[in-house]
Amino acid sequence: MTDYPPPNHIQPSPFAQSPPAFPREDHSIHEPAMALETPGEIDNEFIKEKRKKLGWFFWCCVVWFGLNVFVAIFVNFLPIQDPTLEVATDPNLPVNSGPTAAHWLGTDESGRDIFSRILHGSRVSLEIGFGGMLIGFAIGGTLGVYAAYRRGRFDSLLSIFMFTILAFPAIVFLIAFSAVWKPMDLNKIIILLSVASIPAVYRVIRGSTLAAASREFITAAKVQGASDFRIIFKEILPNILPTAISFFMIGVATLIILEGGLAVLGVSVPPPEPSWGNMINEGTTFINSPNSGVGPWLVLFPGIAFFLLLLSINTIGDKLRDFFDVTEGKL
Amino acid sequence: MGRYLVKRLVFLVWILLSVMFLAFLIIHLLPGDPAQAILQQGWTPQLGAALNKSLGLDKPLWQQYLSYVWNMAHLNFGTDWISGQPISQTLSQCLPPTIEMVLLSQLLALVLAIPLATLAALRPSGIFDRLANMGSFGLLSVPTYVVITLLYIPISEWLGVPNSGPASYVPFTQDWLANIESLSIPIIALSIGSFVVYFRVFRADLITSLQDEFITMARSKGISKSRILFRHAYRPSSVALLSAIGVNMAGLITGTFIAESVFQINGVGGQLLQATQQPDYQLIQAIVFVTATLIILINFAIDLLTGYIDPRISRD
Repeated sequence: MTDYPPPNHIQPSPFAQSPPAFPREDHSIHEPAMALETPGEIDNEFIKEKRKKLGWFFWCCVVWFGLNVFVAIFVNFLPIQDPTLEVATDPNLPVNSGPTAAHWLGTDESGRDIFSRILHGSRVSLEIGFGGMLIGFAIGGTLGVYAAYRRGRFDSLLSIFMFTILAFPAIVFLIAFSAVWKPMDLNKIIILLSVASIPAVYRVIRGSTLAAASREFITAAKVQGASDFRIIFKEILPNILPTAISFFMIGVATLIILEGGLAVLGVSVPPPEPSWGNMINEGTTFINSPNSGVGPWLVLFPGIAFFLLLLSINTIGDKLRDFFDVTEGKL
Repeated sequence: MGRYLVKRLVFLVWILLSVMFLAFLIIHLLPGDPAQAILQQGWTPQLGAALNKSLGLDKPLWQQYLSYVWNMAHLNFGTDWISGQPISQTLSQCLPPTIEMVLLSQLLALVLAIPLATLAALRPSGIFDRLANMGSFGLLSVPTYVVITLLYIPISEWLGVPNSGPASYVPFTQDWLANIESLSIPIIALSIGSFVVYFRVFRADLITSLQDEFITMARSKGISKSRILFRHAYRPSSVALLSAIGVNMAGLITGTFIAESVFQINGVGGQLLQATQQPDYQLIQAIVFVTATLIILINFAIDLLTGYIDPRISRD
């Protein structure tokens, strides 16, 4: 296993004790931001080492996101009404009612409880977001790291292929495929969306691997005789992880938005399954027939659910990227 | 620039060929028989075979593919097997409202985003900048379809546009004012999502550009602020904005399709959804090809423009 000497076996260089050629603390990196109007006070702020904090808003978003995940997993054990219970089976249910004590977010035109449907819908959104991105990362990420590390013909051919798919307008093809691949179900949607996400993941991961692989410590590891496996897992992966995590979160948000769009168009998971996009799709009837008695809450509440989940995912991704963003000057 | 142009052109042709191939696959890798989809209940083996022969579907796949590529390259989409109408006629009816919505919403988004982003970037971390930054980050999490559906009632009441979605579309050549009025709500709703993206991208880039050394240089030469802004800072900052327009196109198309289906406008999206319900594979194929080509051409134009604005991109 130890085909390269551990660091303490290296003979100390005779120059080891000599002072470094450049002072360690080089504040020229932290130059003050120069805008057209630069107030003088900014200078102090930039020279001071700012301790990075994630902030309270980040933790609020983590809590909300965790709540969504919890609901998505345990929704069947929660004491809420059956989301498919209709007026047809239970005539006592109110139809098109606004929020009441019994139905917190009201009911739709067939008497189904909107609150319960929203809780069930979070499962569809999260499964699609995370399922699609996990497959996307498993395939696109692996290929991206491998291609950027190997380079050569494999990399160029794969890159041409990936950039070709990337140039396709995904949504048009998604709609067309959903038409020919009937009947649609959750697994098929996840497969289609992950195929759409693979090239994007590939591009990002390949790019950051390329940047990491050209750094000096990779050369150092190679010179020491480290195996490819070790270099990829111990040297490259930790360096691309921050980018990967934040891109993963942004990708999850994008897939959730995309699936919602397909559902609003009526080509995603078929209707009896409660999903937020389906609910908005059913709710849009209130626009085209204002006197049908369907209230705006049918669109409003799934919209809020979308907004809060996406906001929390985007914030988590954004703050994590800022938090892990190590500038070259500090290395 | 010349080599860059050639490179982009080669990629353009390659992408168009791939799009054609995939659009062809959608029909021909289908389980089942197109003739069955056309005749539906009236399908018998003899009738199906006769129809396949008359449509040329009995030939080997490569012959079909060649004639298909030939027809697509000449924009000859043929006659719809199901409705019997020429497909080019259907397309010429449903393309104008979609294209108009896309163009006008982008115009509106840019007209709003550029001045506001400049205002924010001139005083980074100022009150306006912080508020706008927070607000736009929040809006980033609101999908366009939520905006479209939620904004419909307040806007339509405010503008006094009747609440009835369908049938209000008036062709531009007939009465341009009524035409814009009939599409005003979808255009406003669509522009919000694009505006947020453009605002954020342009603001971030303008702040970086304004911190660059050549701006300090220009300031020390005593060039006026407005000249620095318009002549020096806008150009490097607009590269990212241009590529954001290209990336945003996918979301915009989804939004346009949804706007069409919500407001019942007879556009490409509505036509495509109708075709998927039939399913009218020939129409699906034609719409996929035309929409994809338009989006790819837009991206091609953006690539060329980026190469012109930033010659470093076109040089290598």
